[in-house]
Amino acid sequence: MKKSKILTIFVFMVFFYLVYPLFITVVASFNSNDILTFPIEGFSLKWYKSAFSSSYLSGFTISFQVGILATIISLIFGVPVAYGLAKYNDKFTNRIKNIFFSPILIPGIVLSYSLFLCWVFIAKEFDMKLPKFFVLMLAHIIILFPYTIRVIGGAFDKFDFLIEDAATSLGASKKDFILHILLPSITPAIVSASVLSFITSFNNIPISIFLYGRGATPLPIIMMQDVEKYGNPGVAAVSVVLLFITIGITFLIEKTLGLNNYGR
Amino acid sequence: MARLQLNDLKVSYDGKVNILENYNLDIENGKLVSILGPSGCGKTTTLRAVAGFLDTRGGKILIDDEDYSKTPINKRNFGIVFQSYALFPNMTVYENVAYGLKLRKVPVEQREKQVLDILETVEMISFKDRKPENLSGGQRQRVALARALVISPKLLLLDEPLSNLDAKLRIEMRAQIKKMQQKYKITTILITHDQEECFSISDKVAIMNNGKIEQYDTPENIYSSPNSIFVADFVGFKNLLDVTKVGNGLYRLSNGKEIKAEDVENPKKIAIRPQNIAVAQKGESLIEGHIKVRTYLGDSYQYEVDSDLGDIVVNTSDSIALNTGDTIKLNFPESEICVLTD
Amino acid sequence: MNKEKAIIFLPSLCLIAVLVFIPFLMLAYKSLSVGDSIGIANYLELFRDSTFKKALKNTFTISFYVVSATLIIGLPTAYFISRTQGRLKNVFLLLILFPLLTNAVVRSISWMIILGYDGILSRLLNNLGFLMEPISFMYSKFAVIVGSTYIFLPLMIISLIGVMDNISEEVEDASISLGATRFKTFFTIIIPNSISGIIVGLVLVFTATLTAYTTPNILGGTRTVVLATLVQQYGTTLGRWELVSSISIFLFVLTVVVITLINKGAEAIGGTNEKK
Repeated sequence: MKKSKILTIFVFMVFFYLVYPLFITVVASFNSNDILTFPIEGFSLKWYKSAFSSSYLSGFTISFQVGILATIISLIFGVPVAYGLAKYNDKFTNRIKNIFFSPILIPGIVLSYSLFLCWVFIAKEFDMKLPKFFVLMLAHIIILFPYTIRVIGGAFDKFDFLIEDAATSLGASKKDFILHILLPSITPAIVSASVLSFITSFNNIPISIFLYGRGATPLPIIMMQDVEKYGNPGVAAVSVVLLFITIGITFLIEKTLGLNNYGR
Repeated sequence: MARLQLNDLKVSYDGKVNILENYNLDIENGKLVSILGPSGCGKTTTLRAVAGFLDTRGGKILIDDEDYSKTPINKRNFGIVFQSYALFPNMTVYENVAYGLKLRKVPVEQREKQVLDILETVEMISFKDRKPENLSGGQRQRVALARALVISPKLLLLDEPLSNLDAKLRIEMRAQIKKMQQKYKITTILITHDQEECFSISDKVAIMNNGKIEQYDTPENIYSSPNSIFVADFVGFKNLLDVTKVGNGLYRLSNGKEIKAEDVENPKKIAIRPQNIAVAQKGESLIEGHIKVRTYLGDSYQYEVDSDLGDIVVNTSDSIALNTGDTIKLNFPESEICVLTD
Repeated sequence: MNKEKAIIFLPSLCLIAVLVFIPFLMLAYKSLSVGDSIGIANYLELFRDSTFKKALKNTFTISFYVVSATLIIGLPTAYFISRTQGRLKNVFLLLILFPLLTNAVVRSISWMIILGYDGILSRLLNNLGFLMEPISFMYSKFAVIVGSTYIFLPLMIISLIGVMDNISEEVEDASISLGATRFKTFFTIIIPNSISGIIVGLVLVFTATLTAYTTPNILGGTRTVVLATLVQQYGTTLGRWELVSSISIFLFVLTVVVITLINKGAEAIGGTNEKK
């Protein structure tokens, strides 16, 4: 269809607004100067050296581990729930649906603080200091859980539950059905839920604010602390590395699942 | 190969209101019986109860005198074809058909032979490596049929299997179903709301209304002599007229005229099909009326006639068409009248 | 059947109870406890606190501008993308989606370079003659608004594309054939039929801005405080723990109220909102 020129120009300005800042970061990360500026004064890779320094690397490891574990656990809990919500569309399930989506309503930093209070409570009452890494992971599970249900639920909404009857009539037990038909049928959704969950966990800052500690500080928190010191181009270099990882993942999603399946 | 008897079957969804009550049906070995009725009449409930997806609250499901009403679904060994086909989306055509045999631990070689055989019969052999999403409706239907038959089921249950197909394919597929059913001589229940579909392939038809079987007979008998007003209406007796009995085989219509028909006690209505009404050229006639609407049906004309008996629908194969407003005289041939008591 | 439901739902209900409900109740209790007694003293103090009042005002001002800006920018953009076909559409979607998958720190850093002292914007205004000397736009409301709009715009666009894709182009053609201009068609046909997407977008962007922490922290710092950054500052930096619980509860209630109000408003004007 025909589009007006004004609209086209407007939209290209919007895309410029969306892309240009990222472009600036990429360029600034190659600065030879010690502060973040654009245009850069000279070309250098020194900030990439600092990007692979031990503090960033350990942050990356923590974020990676938390992300992977939280993703797997929220899938283990979330897949059955998504299945149940799609299959039993009755009063009872519609009511408990809200419970499963309730973490969305609570701001991340509030969740983080409330879990911190629990941590303090347990430390005081039971004289037991739960490892920060463990608490951090629990917090991330909560953030991912509604997300997981939504993406997996999207696949189950398209699932014809008569298929379960068909399998049973052919002699399949519940276990046969789950292993041979149900899980293989929603594999694409599981893959996309995993990727999106992992990225969400990896990027989330507010949920970790009150929970990180020595030896359990996620990468974005470290980056933010460095940014607060203002102008450390090392952060820009880390950002660029993350940008390219994200670009890779985005293309992977596009190739395997298609963007339209991106669950909101 | 089995005889199916439903004895006093009782089914409810919520444990309170019975959808089916005192439900009886007897299907002889190897016969194809259709359950026909409007939506909500309980025909799908019947099928799901027989299959085991709904628990029965009473009565028996006897197959060769063995009660199946408490047997788990996955141990019943019934073949079921669903309206949506319900093919396994993650499996190819071959895998779909092989699945039941795999669960029965049929050795690989024998399994392969059986699957390929049946795919050959339903003409799907060349599609065996496709996924269901890449098949047309008719092809999915064939796979679903093959999948249900390959396990040599005691009973074949077909739930509106043709309703998602277009008209031409429907005729093709119902021939296919009949062919397969006869080849394997499987006792079969077909659920449908399409009268033509079920009359064409069934050995017997059960017409259901409000959770009850109104009439259970051969298609021919139901077509020619429905036993109730509901059945008559359902199988195309478009003209249903109130009558009172005035003598032996003599009935008075609401316009005062009298007609002869088969003698029945306590008649309520007479029924006649549009194509069985005779157009009187001259002389005495039962009804005289004006044409309200004319429709061309291809091999005949259909007229809606405004008469002193109310609206009468009549088909004539006369090549000369009458026009709206024309007067028409009609007679009911005695042999075509069906007298109904309720 | 009920056994199956229990197996499916019970573990997750326990998970939510232990990790969300119990901590939340603890938080609510904490916000009401003053020494050894229970009362609303913390809340009373909160509403007397000038920093809190400032943060509340900032939060609303910023949210208002961000929501308006994302809607105004998002509507034409989403329309443009929904009316694009084939590969190009995928490229556009990719460009919209990509920022959503990127860390908020990464995205905010760019704006430090643009808005910072003698940064890109400062130099641009200098060159145009609007400014005499280099300045910094950082830590202002303006910085937070621009940065947050940048971060949340994709949320709005994605919400809008979803519904706009479902508006048939024939409907537009019908409108034009009846004599409307494209411009008028956009306002009388496209926007009214996109209400459900607009509502989803509004809820998403409003709550996201209301509770955002990272961007206001980086671009607003301690000068432009919002509720979420106040929670952290009163907690870990200033040690005013007695207020942290009450601000947290307040922030939660505010979120729920805003979502409810938008949805109620949507019902009132007839827009449906099946997704949250």
